[in-house]
Amino acid sequence: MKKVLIAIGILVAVFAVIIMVFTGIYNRLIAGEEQVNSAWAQVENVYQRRLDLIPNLVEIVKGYMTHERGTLMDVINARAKISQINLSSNITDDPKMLEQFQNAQDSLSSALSKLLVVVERYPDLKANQNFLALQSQIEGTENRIAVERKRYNDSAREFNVLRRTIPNVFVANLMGLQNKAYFKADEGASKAPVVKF
Amino acid sequence: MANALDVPPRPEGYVTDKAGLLDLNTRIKLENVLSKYEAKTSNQIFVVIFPSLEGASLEDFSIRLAEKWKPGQASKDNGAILLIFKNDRKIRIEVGYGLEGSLTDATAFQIIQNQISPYFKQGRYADGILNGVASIMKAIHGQYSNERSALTRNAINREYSQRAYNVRVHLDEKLLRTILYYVIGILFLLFIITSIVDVKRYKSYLYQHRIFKNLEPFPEWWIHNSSFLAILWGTFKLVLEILYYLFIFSMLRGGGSGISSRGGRSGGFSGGGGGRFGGGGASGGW
Repeated sequence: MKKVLIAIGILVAVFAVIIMVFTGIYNRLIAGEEQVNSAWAQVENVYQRRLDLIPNLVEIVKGYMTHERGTLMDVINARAKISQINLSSNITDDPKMLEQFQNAQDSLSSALSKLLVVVERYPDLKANQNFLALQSQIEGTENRIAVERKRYNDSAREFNVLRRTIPNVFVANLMGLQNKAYFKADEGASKAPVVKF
Repeated sequence: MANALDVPPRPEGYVTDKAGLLDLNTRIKLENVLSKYEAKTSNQIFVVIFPSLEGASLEDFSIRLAEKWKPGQASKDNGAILLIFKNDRKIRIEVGYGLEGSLTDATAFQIIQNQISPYFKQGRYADGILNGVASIMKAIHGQYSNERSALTRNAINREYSQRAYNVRVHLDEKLLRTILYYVIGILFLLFIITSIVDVKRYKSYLYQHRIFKNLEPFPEWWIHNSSFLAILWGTFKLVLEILYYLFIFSMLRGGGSGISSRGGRSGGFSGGGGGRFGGGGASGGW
């Protein structure tokens, strides 16, 4: 009788340890995932900020640009395409969805930089105080986007490293936690856009 | 691929001049001004001058500098950096989250264009920097003019900064609560296990009694039984409990798993450091 009780006691203890370890690992994974989600929220925040600046930009530029409306239309169209994207909460788990999102945002980036190059030919516009303020805001937002994307990638990498190590990988697979997707580096970032006149 | 210029360690003072742009008098004056400013408002403004970017990107270096030196108080993120590269003729004002509402991107750009660059073009570096710092301080307190529709822009910037800030605070609180919850849960479970397993086993073993007779709680039993074996076993069990508890706690905390906490503080100032930056500000040149 005593031996049975000892055995039961030990089993209870072992079982408790396993539960503890499992939940400890799982909670760490969840905390890591929340970190990724919060970094993603920041990314969405700064992209939204850029989107909100576009209407003002269009308004100001419209008045001055009588020719080369094509570049302006590109910006308007790129913005419209982005507004149509439905972001589901699982975008960080889905590399294809993230790639789609990044491509849409990057086409807006390139349309914007082409527009800002074309603007160089309109000295009146360049001297407009409102335009200058808006331009510095857009540049500031582009910088913020770069910073938040980098921070998101860093937190996604930290989570993926955490998730893929043994023993965490077993817990993660069991509980259905996915690897996080990354932003791809800009290949054309170092090249300024060439605008043919 | 731009190579990355290394960020030096955080300095002791507010002014770093690695390009010899400022004379001693100006440096002392600037240090005084900035030190008094921090004492009065808790905002930390650094003036940083380097000779050359060496091919690195200005914005990339600036944010790395801000992330390493962290000017501004941790709770307010109220830091700003005036960064100058002499040979590249580039100026940048990097603004912390907490100051973005008043020192907006547009304002920072205007300060560079209208308050610093004109002086630099004439080679009057000291005047330019002093004027720039004065304008930055005015801007932070909403007194810098040359702003149209300032109200609207400030409101927008504040909203974005607030949204970003809320997300960060929320995460820290949740993590703390989770850890606290688990510590309590473990202690409770340990208490149950020791009460059931230990007492019954030891009593039945040593005293040859039937299991459910003379059952008393562990602490009383521990006090009443002063036999050598009882004391020994009790101590051994206590040590095991502590080790067990530490092990579980370390599993929760994780050794270097990279779940981030708030930025660490560095010493050297009147208690500042830890301010966070999001890439706001403006760049320019002369």
